[in-house]
Amino acid sequence: MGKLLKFELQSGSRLLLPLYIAAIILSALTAATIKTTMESIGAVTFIVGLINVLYVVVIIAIAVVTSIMIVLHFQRNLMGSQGYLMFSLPVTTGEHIFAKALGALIWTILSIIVSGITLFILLTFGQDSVAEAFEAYRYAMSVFGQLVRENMLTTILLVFLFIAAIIGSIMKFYASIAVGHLWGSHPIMGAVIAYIVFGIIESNLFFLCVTVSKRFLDAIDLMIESETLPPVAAGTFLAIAVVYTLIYGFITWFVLDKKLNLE
Amino acid sequence: MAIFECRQLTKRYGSTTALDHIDLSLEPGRIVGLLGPNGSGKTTLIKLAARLLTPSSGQILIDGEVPGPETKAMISYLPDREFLPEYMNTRQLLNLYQDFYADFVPARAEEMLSSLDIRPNIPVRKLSKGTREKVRLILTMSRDAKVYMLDEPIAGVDPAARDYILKTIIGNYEPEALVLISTHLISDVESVLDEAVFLKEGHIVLHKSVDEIREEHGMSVDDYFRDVFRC
Repeated sequence: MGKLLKFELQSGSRLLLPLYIAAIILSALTAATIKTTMESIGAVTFIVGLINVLYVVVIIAIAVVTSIMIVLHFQRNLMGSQGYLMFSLPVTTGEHIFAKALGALIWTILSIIVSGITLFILLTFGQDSVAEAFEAYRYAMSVFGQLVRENMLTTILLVFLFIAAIIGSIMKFYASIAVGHLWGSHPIMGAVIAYIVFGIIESNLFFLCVTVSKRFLDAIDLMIESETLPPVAAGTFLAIAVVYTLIYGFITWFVLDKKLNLE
Repeated sequence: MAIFECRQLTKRYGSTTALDHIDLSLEPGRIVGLLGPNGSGKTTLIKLAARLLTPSSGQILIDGEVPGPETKAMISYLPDREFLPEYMNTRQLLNLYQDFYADFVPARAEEMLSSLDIRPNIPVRKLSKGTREKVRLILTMSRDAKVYMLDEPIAGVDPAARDYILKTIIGNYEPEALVLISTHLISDVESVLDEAVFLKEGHIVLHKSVDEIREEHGMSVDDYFRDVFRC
């Protein structure tokens, strides 16, 4: 399992690590130069503007590349010609899917963290007074810390919900690609159609739940009315996210383990 | 006991039947040629054994087991296409094989790579077609596997490379292992074969030792093949 994950991280690092480094450098440059924009003219303004634009481009690129990489890597590495190598390894189908999902989760969280770091650099060092910025963080952290302490259970549930939601959406992509593969001659089109059909089924199920479940409605009302998410609502959504992930995980596993027909 | 066994094995792609209720039993310690024209079902049979395909009906057993992680650990498979990630270099591929296959012998791979002057730090995408073919073969033959399945190992390479590939196969396989070589270029492999299996339109039309074919029909396997598959 660890060996598969090592392979996943090796493969993603080629694309994402350079982007992470570029984003951090550009955010530092943007923070350092943003104050000069107002006072300077001509070439300096142009270069500063260029750095700012590049920073925005790299941040968008991180989000886009992370998503596309997760989908394409699964498609190419398992369903494409590399599948001949991967499916010949003495590991189970479940291990393949788990390693892919875990690798994708790690890259998603890293991309969010790096984007957060660049925002922190920008907000802190782009200010006139760094001390003032830190004072503001201290205040925000104390308020946030207080909130977390008062709602510890909800916070923990929300963290798990966040992770489950990421894995669930990744697994939906995997299940779509796997089901698309059943349509031998047009696997990509099959995957797109599968994704749309899954979406239609999901929204129908959602409306069904909303209609039939009074308790479900109450949970949503509670969420909207109160300032913090009550643990009941967070727990309900976490349970839904886990079931959602398991269903798409099972579909992916079933196709890859029982119906695999590599072109 | 047979190390490779098919029982009424059938594989259909839609309305096309690639393999039709075949029964086959192969013993260890033999080099077997899986011979047939394009589209006869050779690659389908190998892919079923490698578990890249799911049978439509019937069974395939490797050392008595249904294909799965356990059989994959004992099979060294060379597919008929480019299957290595292009961004990886030879060193990384060696590490990958060593990580996953307990029977991989890195020293053997290193020795073959250095004898061919293949530098380990060059990514696969920068290697020539022939060199890639050799890297794939070296990885496959550097395992002490129970079953080697080589799908068209000599197709698409020049005669000098063919000699090298055959020499590598003969020089590196475990004597107690089964070597299954699929090809339609029979004259090149005939000299190394113990047995021949002729596949025609998804059916096994012959399974005999190479000596039997020569004695019974008074011709080489290549000539006999041309006779059987004459258009």
